[in-house]
Amino acid sequence: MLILAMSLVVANAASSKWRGYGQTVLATAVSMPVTYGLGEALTGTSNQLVQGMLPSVLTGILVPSAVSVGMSSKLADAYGYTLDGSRAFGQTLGLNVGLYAGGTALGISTQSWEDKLLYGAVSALLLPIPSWIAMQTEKTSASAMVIPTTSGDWMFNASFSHRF
Amino acid sequence: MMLWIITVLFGCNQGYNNHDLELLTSYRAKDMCSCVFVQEREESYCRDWTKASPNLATMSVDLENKVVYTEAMQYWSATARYVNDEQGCVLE
Repeated sequence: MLILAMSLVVANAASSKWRGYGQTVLATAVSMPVTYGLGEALTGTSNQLVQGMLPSVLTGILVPSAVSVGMSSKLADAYGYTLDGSRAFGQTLGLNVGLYAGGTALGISTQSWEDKLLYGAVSALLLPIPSWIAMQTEKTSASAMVIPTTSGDWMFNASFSHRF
Repeated sequence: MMLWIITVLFGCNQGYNNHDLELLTSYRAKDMCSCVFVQEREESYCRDWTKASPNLATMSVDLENKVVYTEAMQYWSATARYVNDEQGCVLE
């Protein structure tokens, strides 16, 4: 019975994590067309190599990372998890730099719809991972157990804890 | 007179419109297409021949449809297509 109660608590926590991850994936996916649009709009800021390249490239790296970590942070509060936002942002940013470099090396172009869909889907699936892995502890936990005793009675044991 | 001065000054501030990566991708697509489909050179030779600095453009050659696609930093790209022997390759 104890094992059942523990597994229910763990399963509930895992389920809320998956739900939160799914919602963050959705938010990141929605941010991708905005990122492409903004990046393309900024391609004409300068005719110089670095000055003209930076606004678009930084948009492509910063916007999806910020949306992913921002959404994760908001959902972490909603589901009772704690998240070190600055650490998660650093990890997400590092991951997105790798994704951007990989996409560029593979010849991904924002002119192609197939490329946009593929790159957007991969980014949306991968970018929330560092944030949701970093959320290890819940602020609130609850469990309930019904235990048969040798005297023939039933013992009910409920516990609730909240960490501040 | 004043209007003319303002127009000239505004025109000077506009500068050169094409970004370096726009030039790089367009140049490489056009020259690669000409090299492979007009001069009929080996693809590896043409890749080396059209390499520019900074070497930021990635490239794919569609031999069947006679098209060359180039891309740089995801936001800049160009496509060159072989039209015929008379016109050679043109940028799209």
